[in-house]
Amino acid sequence: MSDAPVLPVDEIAKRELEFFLLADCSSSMSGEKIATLNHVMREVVNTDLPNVLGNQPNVQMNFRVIAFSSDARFAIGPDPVPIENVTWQDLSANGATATADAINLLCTHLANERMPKRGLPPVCILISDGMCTQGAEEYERAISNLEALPWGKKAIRLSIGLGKIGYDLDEEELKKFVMPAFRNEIGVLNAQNKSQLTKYLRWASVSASIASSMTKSKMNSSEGSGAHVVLPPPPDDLVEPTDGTDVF
Amino acid sequence: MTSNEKWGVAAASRRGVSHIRNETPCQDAFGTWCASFAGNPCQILAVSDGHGSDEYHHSHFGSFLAIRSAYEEFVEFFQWYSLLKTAPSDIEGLQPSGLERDFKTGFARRVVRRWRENVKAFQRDVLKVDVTGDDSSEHQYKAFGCTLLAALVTRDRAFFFQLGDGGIFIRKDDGEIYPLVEDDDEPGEATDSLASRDPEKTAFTSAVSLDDVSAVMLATDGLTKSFTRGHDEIVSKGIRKTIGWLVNRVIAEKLDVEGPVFDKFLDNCSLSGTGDDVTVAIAFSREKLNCGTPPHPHNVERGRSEANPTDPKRAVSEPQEHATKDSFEESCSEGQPITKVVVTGNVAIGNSAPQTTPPDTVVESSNASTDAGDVF
Repeated sequence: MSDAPVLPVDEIAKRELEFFLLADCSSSMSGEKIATLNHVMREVVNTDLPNVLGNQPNVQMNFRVIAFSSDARFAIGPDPVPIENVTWQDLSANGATATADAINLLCTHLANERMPKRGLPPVCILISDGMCTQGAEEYERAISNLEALPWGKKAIRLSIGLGKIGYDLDEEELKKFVMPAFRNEIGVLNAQNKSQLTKYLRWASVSASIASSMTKSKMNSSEGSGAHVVLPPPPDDLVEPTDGTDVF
Repeated sequence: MTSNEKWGVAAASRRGVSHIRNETPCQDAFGTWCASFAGNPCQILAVSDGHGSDEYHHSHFGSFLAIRSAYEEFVEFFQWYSLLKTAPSDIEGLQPSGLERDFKTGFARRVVRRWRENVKAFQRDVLKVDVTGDDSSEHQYKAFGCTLLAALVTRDRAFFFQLGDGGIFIRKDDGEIYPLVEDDDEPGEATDSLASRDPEKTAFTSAVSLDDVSAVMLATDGLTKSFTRGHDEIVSKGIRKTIGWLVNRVIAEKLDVEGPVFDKFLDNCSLSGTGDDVTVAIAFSREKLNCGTPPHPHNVERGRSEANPTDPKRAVSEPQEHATKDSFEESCSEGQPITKVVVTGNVAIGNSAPQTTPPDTVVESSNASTDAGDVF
């Protein structure tokens, strides 16, 4: 029969994985920090993530970048961009550190109605070299907004802090962004030089993507939820001998 | 043509590509049964999906035990239901409506209890594990964690049970398709489970009239998550079209010969969709879909039985028909191994003394432990 129904092979769709990078583009990131970030993310987008997805044919990754300085805006986005279509555009650094705005912008796009119904846990990586200049209360409110969202709770969230903790970097502040299950185990990935930033950024992007794409069914447990994803340990803490000239 | 011919059943299950890649067994199980009691026909369908990751390392057994538990509880329920329909009682509490109320309030608890008993027996008799401890503890059952979707189709009503993800879909006579349970939009991979502490609290039970229903489909999430669904859709286009195709093949009496086509489609769902095991079971009204004789079995499981009203002890004159080894091999021709646990029942229940034969079990798996076959 010419009008006989056909099986909906065309309707079969991969599971979607939303990847968000929240990148600090404040003035203090200028120079080597932003140059390294641009260089590494170009590698991540062109090589690392496509390699990951080569082993996960059921996954469609969509990539977005929220750049924040005195305000927050999409550098790649706001519509999700399939990873295979992403061309990394170098970020530049100038302005304050509106981390709360960046997290609130992320929340807008993690709302149920904007996320794919059968999506995998989204990956959200925050990279910053300083403290939020919008005040502690504003930052706390943004974190609460994130934690209140169903997709915010499920997201694999990691933080990378550039520089020396306790000087320009507030570790506790960045730790609040990290997914609760990983706050003690992984905490804030502290990169003090170019080499560490490279390793941590690549590890965070790739590991979180693999973990999300391999998420399996897990029962709702009354004993409290542990991580529904498993991450390998991060690269060893590389406090390599330096002559002091290669630190951020 | 007996009254049992009015509804037919079919099912198919495919091991997911991610499981083939990782050399892990199929976590899905399913069963289809046709039977009658005191001249009242019924069909029972069940599908179950084990959780599969390391902490649920026995979940492929858990799903097997789940469909067995659903079958056992539905058989018991149907005996009472059938009795009360044919010999109404004036005793309050023994009315069919009373039984339906009990189904909605108590069936979930009974299925969970039956599953736990089956799991404990399996641990004790097969795994040789000393099973002690708090029965309500999640730990005891966690390794066997799985979902369960089941349906009992009688002459005029259908009874449904759902615990966990996947979907139960009803096709109305006008072609419209409805989910039994609306998606709660909860993101992520967490699902309700038989292994949870109080799973009956999150189970869904329902009884519906079959007056305007022509087909019912159960599917594990390997199928339901293979299709995108718009925020304004209650059933995805993919599910609608899948049911549409199955119904069309039933009407055309070609479901058996096109079994391999459906298998290939399920493989595609796994390959291009979720990567997960994919399992589907369907019951369809031959009367409403104007089908003729029941189709022969192929790799798509089929069940039919012919009640012989003159000999109640031989209520089932033909055993459930399994897919033959040949058909498995035929559908494996592209090198796609099937791991499938089939439990079908040949229920012979007479008017006088109920006679229930235990289900026959066929384990078709390259990965399933031989212990599973030894138990059943």
